[in-house]
This record gives sequence, C-alpha cells and structure tokens, in this order.
Amino acid sequence: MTVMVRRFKTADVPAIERLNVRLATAGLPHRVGHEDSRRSEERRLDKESIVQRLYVAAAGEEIRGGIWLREQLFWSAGRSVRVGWTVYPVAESLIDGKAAGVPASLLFSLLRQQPYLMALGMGGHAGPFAKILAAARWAGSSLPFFFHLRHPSRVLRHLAYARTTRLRRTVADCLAASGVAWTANKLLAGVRAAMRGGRARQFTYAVVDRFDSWADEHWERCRDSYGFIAARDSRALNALYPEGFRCLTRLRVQHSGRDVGWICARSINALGTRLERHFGGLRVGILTDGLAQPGDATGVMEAGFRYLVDEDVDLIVTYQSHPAWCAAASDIGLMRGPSNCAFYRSPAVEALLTRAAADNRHCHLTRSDGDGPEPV
Amino acid sequence: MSVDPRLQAVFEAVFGREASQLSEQDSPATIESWDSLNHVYLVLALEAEFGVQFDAEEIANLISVGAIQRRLESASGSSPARAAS
Repeated sequence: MTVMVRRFKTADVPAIERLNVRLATAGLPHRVGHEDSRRSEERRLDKESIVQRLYVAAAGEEIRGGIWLREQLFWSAGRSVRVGWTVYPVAESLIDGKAAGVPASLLFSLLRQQPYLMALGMGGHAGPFAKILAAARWAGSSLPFFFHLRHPSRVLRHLAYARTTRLRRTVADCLAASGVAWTANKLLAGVRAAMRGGRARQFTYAVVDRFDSWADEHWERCRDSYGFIAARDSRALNALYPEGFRCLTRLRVQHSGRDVGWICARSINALGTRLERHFGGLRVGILTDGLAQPGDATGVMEAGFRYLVDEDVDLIVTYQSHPAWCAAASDIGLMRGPSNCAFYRSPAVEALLTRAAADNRHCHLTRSDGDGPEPV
Repeated sequence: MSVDPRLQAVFEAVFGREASQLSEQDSPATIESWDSLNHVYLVLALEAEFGVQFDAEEIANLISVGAIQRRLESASGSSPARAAS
C-alpha cells in the first residue's frame, strides 16, 4: 500500500487510534495525537503567535505515523522569519520494518512545507529522531545545561541519575551523610558570589500575571542584540505562558526603576508529576525563559535565582544557548552539566545562525523553545 | 530481473555484508539493519550515486530493492546505470 504524507483530517482519528493501539500493544509509550476537530478555521501566524499542525503518513485506510509542525516567528538580522519546529514524530517503523521509510518521508515533507525547520530535545543525540536528523546532515549541537544544588544532601538522595547504579547510590549516600557535598557546595557558591560583586543584586523583580506593553517595548529594544531569537513580544509570551499555567511565575525585572528584562521561573514539587521520574520528591526550580540585553543577563538571571531561593527549591536548573546567558548562569553560581537536550536545524536555519554569528550575534534558545514549557 | 551492480554497491555500502547477495525481493523484512535511520542513509546514498532526487512522499515507498530499482529505471528511462549518465 502506497504511503502518502498529508495534512491531518478529522476522519483520520480512528486510524490514528488504531496506530496508537498497535504501538501500545508492542509496549511502546509513544502515540500520535490529533488536532482539535471542533476547530474549523485554519490557524495562521498573523492571527496567532504559535501555530501547530499535524501531518500524517497515510497508507490506504491506515495511518503509519505522524509529526507536528509547530510554527512561530523568529527575529534574525533585522527581520521576522517564520520558522518551524518538528514536534512529537512517531512512526510505525518502531514496530514494523515495512514502515522504515516513514520517518524520513515525514521529515522531508515537513521540510518542503517549511525550509526553516528545527528540532529540540529528543532525549539527546542518541534518540532515534536525532539520529535521523544527523543522518539527513542537519547541523546539531546540545543546548547547554546548568544546575545549582541548594540542598545537596536531599538532591543526592532523590535524583534518579545519582541512583542508577549501586556505585552511584553508595557514593551519593556517603556524600549526603558526611556533609561533604553541603560544604563543597557552600564553598563554591561563596567563591562565585564574591567574584560576581554586588551589581546583580541591585536588580529588583516584581511578579506579574501577564506580559503587557512594557514587554513589547523591551522586546523591541532587545531583539537586535540577538542573531536568532523567537518572537518574545507580549502576544507571543502570553500564548506561551498563559495565565493559569501551573507552577510558572513571570518576573518583571528592573534596575534603578527601569525595565531591564523579565524571567520566567518555575517551582515544581516533582512528586506526582512527570518530573518525578528524574527528580523523585525534590522541589525543582527551573529558570525556563528570559529576555534582557546580553549585558543585563546576569542581573536578570540572578533575580530569577533569588525568587527560586525564596521558594526554597532543592535545585535550580536552566538551559541556555546564548553566550551571555551561559556566562550569566556561571556568574550566579550554576555549574554546567551534561545536556540531554539536542538542537538540530535544517541547512536554511544553519545559514541564518552562521551569518548572525559572523556579526557576533548569537542564537538565544531556552528549554521553552521547541515544544514549549512542559506542563506539570 | 537482476539487481543493478551500482545499486548492489550502494546497498553494501549502507548495510554491509547483510546486503551482499541482493534480490529484488529484499526489504526490511530480510535485511535486519534496514531501519528508519539506515533508510535515510540509503536514500541519500542513492541520490548521490544516481543523481536523482526523490520526492518526500515516495521515500516511504522505496521499501524494497525491486521498488527502488523500478524507480531508478523510470528516472533513467531504462537501467539504473543510466540514471546518472
């Protein structure tokens, strides 16, 4: 039966469900979702900040795979660029060799729809879709990951990574019981604080419920400092972080009464959420997104850090691509750790990044890019 | 119909010894390492060797040696050997 890649239709829902049953029967957790069939109007970027469409690989009456194209506007070299993320690719090739060509077909079809195409996360470079992107000769890198242990003993006792082998468990338990981890952590934080001086602490923050005109003005002031950055005007931000988004706090950051940026911080009790698999019973702090002039990144990130300290989180993590934001994370005492967040981009996106980098303007990506902040 | 020697060479480059005795019927069912990742390598290797560009949709249907050989023949007008000439 010939496979054809096309836009999702409401009539596909039963076939998608049959595919999901086949995947589940084989013991796989992956499933293809579907678009809201109650919505008849086509979503467009001039009306909405983020538009998501599902493409399916159809073979007769059956669906063999699906992939979402999530489009949004980016800013690069003084102009708006419509770009897409590939999100949640799932194909029957996972369980049936006859569908081996489906993932590539979905990917190349999407690329024809949207040449500026990227993918983020995917469980790292060893993930099956990341490997396909690498095989298709997309440029790949990792989104740098930073962390800070506020309560090292608790983290060592709960963090899944520290407990995956008997050796790791033994070392973690010894460090936790001896207080060595606590002492080393305090020493490191003290040294970092002494090195960064007091300017960052002069940044004040206020919790806000939504992004308004101040965020638009800030976006217009900042956007040309970056070589490639998702539109972060109030419309885009309120779509990405709608009121009521669980466990997310928007901080408007000022210095001497002047807006210098904003940062979104998340304080999540991992127990009972999707994060429990990695973080056990820890309270996790995430600096999930932020915007400032690169020179103000340290002060803005430190404001978010202070907020999470006040929330008494056990550890603080962030993913940042831009050199100024990476330096900011180090400046405020976060350590760089191994990243499982792969970033792949099509040749068209890579050309934009290369051109911008030659002008010393860099890409600003956070873990909120791609499929957005993870609901908990 | 025998398998074109250039097609045989591409398969051996991608799949190694598993593909050393190709027949038209060979597919992911008979070549164990013919998975979605190696399918990408195969498609890119075929495009480079035969100077063709496959449509995105047809990539999913190039799923047996016979289907690939027929597609390359249609591109060249006869045998795959002529596709790049």
